[in-house]
Amino acid sequence: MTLLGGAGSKPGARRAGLKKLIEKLGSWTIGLIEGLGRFSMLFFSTLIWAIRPPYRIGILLSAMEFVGVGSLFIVLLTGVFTGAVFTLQSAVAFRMFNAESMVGMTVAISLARELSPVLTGLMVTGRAGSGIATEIGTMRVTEQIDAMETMAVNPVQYLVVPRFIAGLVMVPALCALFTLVGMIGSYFVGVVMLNIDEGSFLSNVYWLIDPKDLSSGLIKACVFGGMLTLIGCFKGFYATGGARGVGIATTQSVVASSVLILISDYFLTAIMF
Amino acid sequence: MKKLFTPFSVGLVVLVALAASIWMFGAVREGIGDDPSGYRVWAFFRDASGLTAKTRVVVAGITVGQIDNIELAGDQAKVWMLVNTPLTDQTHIAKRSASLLGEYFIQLSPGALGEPLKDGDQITLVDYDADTSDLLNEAKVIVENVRDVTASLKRIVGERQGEDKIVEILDKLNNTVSELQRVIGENGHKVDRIINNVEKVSADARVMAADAKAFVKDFKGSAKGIMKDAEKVASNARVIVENVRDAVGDTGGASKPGDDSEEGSGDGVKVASGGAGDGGKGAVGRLQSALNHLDNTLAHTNSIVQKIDEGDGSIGRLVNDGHLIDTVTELVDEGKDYISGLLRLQTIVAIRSEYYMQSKNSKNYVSLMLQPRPDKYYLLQLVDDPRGNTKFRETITRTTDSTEDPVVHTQETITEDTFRFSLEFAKRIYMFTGRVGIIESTGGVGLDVHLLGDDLQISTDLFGFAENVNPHLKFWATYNFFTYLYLAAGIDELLNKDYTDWFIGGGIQFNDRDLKALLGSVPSP
Repeated sequence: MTLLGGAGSKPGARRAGLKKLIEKLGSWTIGLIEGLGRFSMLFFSTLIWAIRPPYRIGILLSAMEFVGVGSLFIVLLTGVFTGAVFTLQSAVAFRMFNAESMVGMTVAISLARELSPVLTGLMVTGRAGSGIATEIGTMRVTEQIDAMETMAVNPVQYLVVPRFIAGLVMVPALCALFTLVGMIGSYFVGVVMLNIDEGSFLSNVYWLIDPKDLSSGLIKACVFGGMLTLIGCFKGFYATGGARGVGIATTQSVVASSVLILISDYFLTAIMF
Repeated sequence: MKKLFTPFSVGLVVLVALAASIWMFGAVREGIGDDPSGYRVWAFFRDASGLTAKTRVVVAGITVGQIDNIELAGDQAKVWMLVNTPLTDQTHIAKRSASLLGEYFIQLSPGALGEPLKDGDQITLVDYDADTSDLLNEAKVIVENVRDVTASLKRIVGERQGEDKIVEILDKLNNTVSELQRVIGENGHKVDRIINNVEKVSADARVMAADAKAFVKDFKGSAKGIMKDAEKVASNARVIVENVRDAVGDTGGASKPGDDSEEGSGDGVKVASGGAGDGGKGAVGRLQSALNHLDNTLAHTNSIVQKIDEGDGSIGRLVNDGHLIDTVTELVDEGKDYISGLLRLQTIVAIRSEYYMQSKNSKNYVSLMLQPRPDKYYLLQLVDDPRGNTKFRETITRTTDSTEDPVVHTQETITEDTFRFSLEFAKRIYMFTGRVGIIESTGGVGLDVHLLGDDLQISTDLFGFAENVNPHLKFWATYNFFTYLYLAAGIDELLNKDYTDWFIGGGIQFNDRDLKALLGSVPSP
């Protein structure tokens, strides 16, 4: 058996299979470029509508509550245990070199630069990004968005802009809290449980962490927040095929956001450091 | 409620996140880079491996800065540091290893002397230590030596021949010990006899010593008797001599009156009678001459008295001129003041010695104090300080040789063993006496405080402004526990910690009356 129908298939069938494959490949490529185009259009449209009145503060606050306050618990929980487990593992490694005082500094740098923005982005993606895609996708398949357009309400301004701004503001806020509670978890495990010297633990953190480390993490979180909310909106906005289509849109939203967060993290790190 | 809850919860999260961010930024901004007192200095290193940006810069184990940047300058590393402590151009810099893992830091040793470094200045005095690789090379050489030694030992002991030699040595040792035991066993009775003989000799010596003691005692008794007899003889002889002298004296006294009446009975009579016979005529002549002289003298006296009455001559003017006598009176008064001033001038001579506890040296003073008035004196002092005169000389050598430091600072301390002298003017106001002048060969000032009826004196001297880094400050107290003697204790070089030393001492002092009494009692040669 081969990909094109097996060794024993007829030449006509092989040609049909090849044609079908090329069609699918072309369709996927066109769909990808089309999707990129739509995403870009949605992005620019969001930017434009963000600065145009009317400003719907109530909707914006609701979106911020959904993205930020709703994700707070899971983000804090993740932060505490990330700092704790990272300290536990680092202490084992540093103990081999009798350099346990460097544990706090290592954990702090990792949290501030990478772990906090990435894990916060992934947590918010899993909770809020999927929710945004589901909500807007449902509105799309139930033609609520069409009705909105009929009533001369721009759906981008009404649905996308508040969520996008909520992502830009709340994800960095959650990232800062993630770093703080992560360090608290690290302190608890390192100083309280593993008896690492408190003075050297903290002094190394204060000494070797730069403001730039913290600001780079917050910038990344800002980018990730905008990205994940926009992807959720995009997938929901263009969802088709009823309830199943909404489910697919949600899944695609989470997968795309997660992958793009990790990829863009690499490029952002390369640019900033 | 729902309407209120949404903005409140969002605002709360944003506020908390904002507060966390501000706190974290504030905490990590406590580094040297944001210290307003920080400034940048740099130094060349031949090897900057292990040094990175933010590597600590320490002074005496305390972090005072961090490495800001490292750049290549020719074949050397130019290391820029951001520090927040004052440094001088005598600061030494060194790369030190914090652990064997290769963690390094920069150690600074600020010099006490030198010009302060400014932003952008270079630290020129770079010290180089042996790093881990050097130590490993040293260890390698040691290990090779140890290996050679163990190989030699193995050749000697480890082979069959070596084992045989050791067995042979042990056998010989065993034989020697056995032989020694045998000799001691065979000659045991001889040793006993020798010991017995020694005991007998010592007993005889004890008896002889007792006899000698008794003899001396007897001799002492006999000698006493002899001495008593000798005293009796001497007493008798003295009596006899007295008797003889009395007898001789009585005879001389009885013969004198007879000499005046009997011609030719003795030599003294002859001289007396002969003198009277020759001088009978000459004495009348000399009397006449004396009367003539007296007459002339009276005539002159008359003339002089007459001139005085008339106001002629110096004495006549003196007697008859009232103005002149006033002038003479004033002159006499001034002379009296001058002489009383001279009489008031008191001279005090003192000798003082101080023992310095740490340097274990003695410092000695000989002082001459001239005191014209109770509240003023001049002090002349000769000081013998075993620490000598110390001077500092700094030499800066510049070289273009790339293998050496471009600037070499050499500081030379010169100590000369010479006497010092002091010449001070002192003025007392109430219980304070201020002194100014030359103190120990340099300009200086001093202050004394007199307490307990001047028995306790607390003093301080400040001098030697150009001798050391800081002036020479001495603080001490003296207590007169006897008229001529006093104790002293204090601390010297208070401002130069390297030379600060405690001392105790004492002195003796005499004024001119004491000196007159002392010198008068010394016998003339």
